[in-house]
Amino acid sequence: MTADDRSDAILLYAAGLLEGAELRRLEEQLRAGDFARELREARALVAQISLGLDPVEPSPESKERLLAQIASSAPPIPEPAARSGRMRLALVATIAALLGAAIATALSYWLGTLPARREAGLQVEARAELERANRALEEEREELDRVIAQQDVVLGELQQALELADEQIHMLHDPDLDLVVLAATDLQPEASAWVFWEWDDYSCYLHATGLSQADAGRTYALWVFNDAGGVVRVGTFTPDDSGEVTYFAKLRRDIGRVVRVVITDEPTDVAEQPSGPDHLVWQSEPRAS
Amino acid sequence: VLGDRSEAEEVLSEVFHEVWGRAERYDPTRTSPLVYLLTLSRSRCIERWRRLGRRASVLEGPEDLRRSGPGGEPDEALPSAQALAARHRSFVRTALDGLEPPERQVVELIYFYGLTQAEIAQRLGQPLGTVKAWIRQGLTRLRDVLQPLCAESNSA
Repeated sequence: MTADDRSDAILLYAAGLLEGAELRRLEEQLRAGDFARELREARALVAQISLGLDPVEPSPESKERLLAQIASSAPPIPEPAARSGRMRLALVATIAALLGAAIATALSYWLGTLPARREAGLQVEARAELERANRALEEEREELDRVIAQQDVVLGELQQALELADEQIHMLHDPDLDLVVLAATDLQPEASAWVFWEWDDYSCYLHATGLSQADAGRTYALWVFNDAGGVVRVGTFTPDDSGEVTYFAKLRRDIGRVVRVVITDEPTDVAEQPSGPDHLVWQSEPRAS
Repeated sequence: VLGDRSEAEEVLSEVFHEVWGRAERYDPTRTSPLVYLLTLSRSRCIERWRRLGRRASVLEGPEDLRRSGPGGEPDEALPSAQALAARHRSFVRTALDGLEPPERQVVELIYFYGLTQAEIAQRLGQPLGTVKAWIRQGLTRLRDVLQPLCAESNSA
């Protein structure tokens, strides 16, 4: 780039007309060399084109607006010191100013603390509101705990029922399963009952229908007699409203060979031996000698 | 430039307020105070002109540059500041009058309205290269005529 080219480029640069590669190339040269004076002259040339315009006197309102604008953004200008010939007036004015300042200070303090007091009030209200919300949450949590505890009970019962059903299903599939059918006595001619024995793990499953409700203070009991004359109480049970019973129990492994199964009704504090009448009975066939 | 006295006064107020509030931005090593003020005024004027949406139709520079002539010889009876301004005006108008019409047109469009070279080329229906050549010639001719004024402005 020749000196003339550079001068032209500086002129265009000062007018804001250089772009892209031309702009970058010139800026590199301006950084590398001392062209401050030339650039300054170019800026002056471009700027003073506006001097060709007719001057227009601003309106007085414009001047007043500008001065007001400046006054509103400028720091206050201190008043000149009082002259000796106006000491009295100055004293009165000073007292008035001090009084005014005191009132203004008190007012500004009151106004200044107003947000803080309002803020403090808001904080108290907010804290009370939080405490109320916290208590409500606590009550809700306790209620949920109760519901969960109830559900746990139900779940436990369901779990037990499921385990029982599993055992029953397992037993019904077992090849060692024995079934005995109990015969109704005259006390309950409409009743019937089946007992499944699963000797693999000594499980016992009773299913009965048509049973009447036991009398007050009494309950039904299932008894097993072995061939040695011994008797074992398997358990007690109560039929539902439709007279059905489903009952599952484990037998002692030393029970021996079962020869008789009986359902009796007994006092609720059941003894180790049957004392009530027989309602349903199964008796094994005597072995051939 | 703005074609509205109240708008011009708004810009004037804005410029002086900016100078008052941000005087520390002025760098005396870069420009003289007069050039700084003129540059700032021009920028604020163009910004406001654009905000007013007057970019679309303009094809020539400000009216008063064409309406009156060079302004004649400075009146010796005027106060010194006004006399100086009148002398400057006479110089600039003489320089602008010395340009070829297309050169003057593009220089005025660029200076007073901030149009880009591409915008001017499109507006005048001329190739961009031609417009660039007019601008370059126009500015260098102005420089040759206004050189003494530039030195004076720089020292102002």
